[in-house]
Amino acid sequence: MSFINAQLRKTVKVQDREFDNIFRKAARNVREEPSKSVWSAIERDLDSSRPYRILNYVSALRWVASVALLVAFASGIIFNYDDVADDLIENRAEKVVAEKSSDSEQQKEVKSQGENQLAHNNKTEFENNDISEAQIHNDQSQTKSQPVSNIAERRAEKPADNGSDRELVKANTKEQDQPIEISSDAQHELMKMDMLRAEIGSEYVDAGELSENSTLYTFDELPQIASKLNLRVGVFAGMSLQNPKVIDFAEFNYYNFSNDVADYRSLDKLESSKSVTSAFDFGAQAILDIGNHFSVVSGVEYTKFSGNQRYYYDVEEQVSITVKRMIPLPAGPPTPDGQFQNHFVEQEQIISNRVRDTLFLNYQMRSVNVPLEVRYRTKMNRFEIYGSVGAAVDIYQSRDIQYNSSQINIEEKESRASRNYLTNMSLNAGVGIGYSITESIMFYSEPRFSHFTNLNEDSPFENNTQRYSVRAGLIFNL
Amino acid sequence: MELVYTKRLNSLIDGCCDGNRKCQRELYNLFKSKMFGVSMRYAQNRALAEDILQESFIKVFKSIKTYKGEGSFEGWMRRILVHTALRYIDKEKRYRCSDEEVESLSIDKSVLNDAMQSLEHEELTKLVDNLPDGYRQIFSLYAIEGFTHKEIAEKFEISIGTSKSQLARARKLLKTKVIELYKRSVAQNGQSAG
Repeated sequence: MSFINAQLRKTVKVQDREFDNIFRKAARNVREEPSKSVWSAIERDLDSSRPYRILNYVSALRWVASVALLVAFASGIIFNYDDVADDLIENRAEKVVAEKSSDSEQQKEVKSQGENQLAHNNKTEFENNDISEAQIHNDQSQTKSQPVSNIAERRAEKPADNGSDRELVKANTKEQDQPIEISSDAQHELMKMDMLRAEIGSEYVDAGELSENSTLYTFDELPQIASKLNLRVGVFAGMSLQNPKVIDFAEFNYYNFSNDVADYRSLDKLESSKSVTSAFDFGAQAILDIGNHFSVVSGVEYTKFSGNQRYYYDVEEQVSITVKRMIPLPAGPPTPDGQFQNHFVEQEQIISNRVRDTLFLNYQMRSVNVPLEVRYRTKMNRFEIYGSVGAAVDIYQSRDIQYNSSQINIEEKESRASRNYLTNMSLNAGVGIGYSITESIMFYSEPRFSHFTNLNEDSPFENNTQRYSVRAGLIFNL
Repeated sequence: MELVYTKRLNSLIDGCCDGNRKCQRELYNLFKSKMFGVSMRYAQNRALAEDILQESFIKVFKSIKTYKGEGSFEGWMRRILVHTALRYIDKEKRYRCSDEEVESLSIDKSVLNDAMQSLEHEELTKLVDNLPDGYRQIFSLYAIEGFTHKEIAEKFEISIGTSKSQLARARKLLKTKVIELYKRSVAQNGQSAG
């Protein structure tokens, strides 16, 4: 009896195992499609704990910090140069005056008279600049003797505005043996200069500019007033071309599993057609002028790429079909109730095929670019010519891609959220020319070159791509 | 085919070990529907199943270096997912069944044999899905996922004996449902033939 019970229990156990096996096979073939947001959430979570991304941002910040340091260093040199230049001008001027003064009594007398006159008018700064009434007299007479509108001749005088040459000019005037007397006109000019100096805060005032006709200056002829810091803002729009192979689409594997069929396709021998990605961009920038020649430029630029590309490839298609066959159980003790006398055997059949196909890609991508650049500029009348170099952080926003072929038809949309703020770095250089339409508005155009470096392995850009662009815009003086 | 698949899977695993996002994504695409099917069996609703799937894949990617290639990769992933799912399931909803009703059920074994051979996989899995929560969980863990009674007992904080008895009741209920479904389909076929 106990033997029969044991045999029965064993049989029941076998039955249960078979019963479970059938459910196991059934359950393991169950497939359900989760929503697309699951992968986005997984990616976000992985990114939040991914150390190399932090390193990427550190790397980006290192670049920007390097450029900022370069700018700061350049600015320091410029400011320092201005101060040293001022000191040199004053020292050299005093030296020249002293040398020339010792040559003749008349010149001493001239200097004495000039100093007395200055003391009379309480013009200590004027004394430092060493501008005597003799010069005023001469300059005034020269100015009166020529047309005010003659810009070329005025420019010939202008070196005296800006440096030691002015002192040499003054010294030369003192060498002329002309009777010196302080006229009422000269006193009047001195008063005008004093008032003007107080108004514009500049210590370099050319007496020649103080003629009665000074009100006739045009916009082009306004005397340059050294201002160390000046902020300008601008807006621009432009077009770009980027070299081919912008995007790495080469990784392509396609799986499709159904209950009995496993379909695996891999792309091979991928050949890309030549194509160029075009882009439209617009943005705003702020320009901080430091001294007369240097500027620091930053801002924000939005770029929208679009393009299409053809790939020729071989697709290796392998379809595995699992066929179930029922075969009798191998010889053994028969089950008492005759259950499960047959069992399933799965046989796999593989169909392999190799097909030449063409894949058409249409894509659009959007990114935001934050540059930091140093600019050297020079002015000629209304024109400003400049050259810029710097770096930028390129923050990827989104992309839409359509793949179409006889084998595959996929539409893919990715947003920044799922790509987790991909960043590229670019080194930029450009030369531009500006034309001042009015005193406060300048139109400019700038051809630019950018060299991109990937900071992120998931970037849609390939390593070391180049972009050629042209932008045009307006800059406003604040 | 199997060779190509295994080779590709191994390269994906290697890529995931290096934190390569493309490989991670491809691996996810490869297993997402299978794993979500498992997740749906344990979760009460689709939203919870997606949460379980998400957390499971994050665990997989973070601990993929610990996979030594012993046993199937899919089996390793399934165990991670099941453990995650069990953590999500409300303890109160675990293993709560009306045992009395099951005890009174009787099974016609000759009909069961025919039923098991004739029913489709989808129909069988639906029957499992429609089991009461506790029975479904214990049957799924033991019969489908291959957990031992000791592991189930530890997970559900019950005795091994309770796990065994609950599994037996789950099987009994499932067999009853299989027979009912089979009888219904036979009756429908008879009506349509008549």
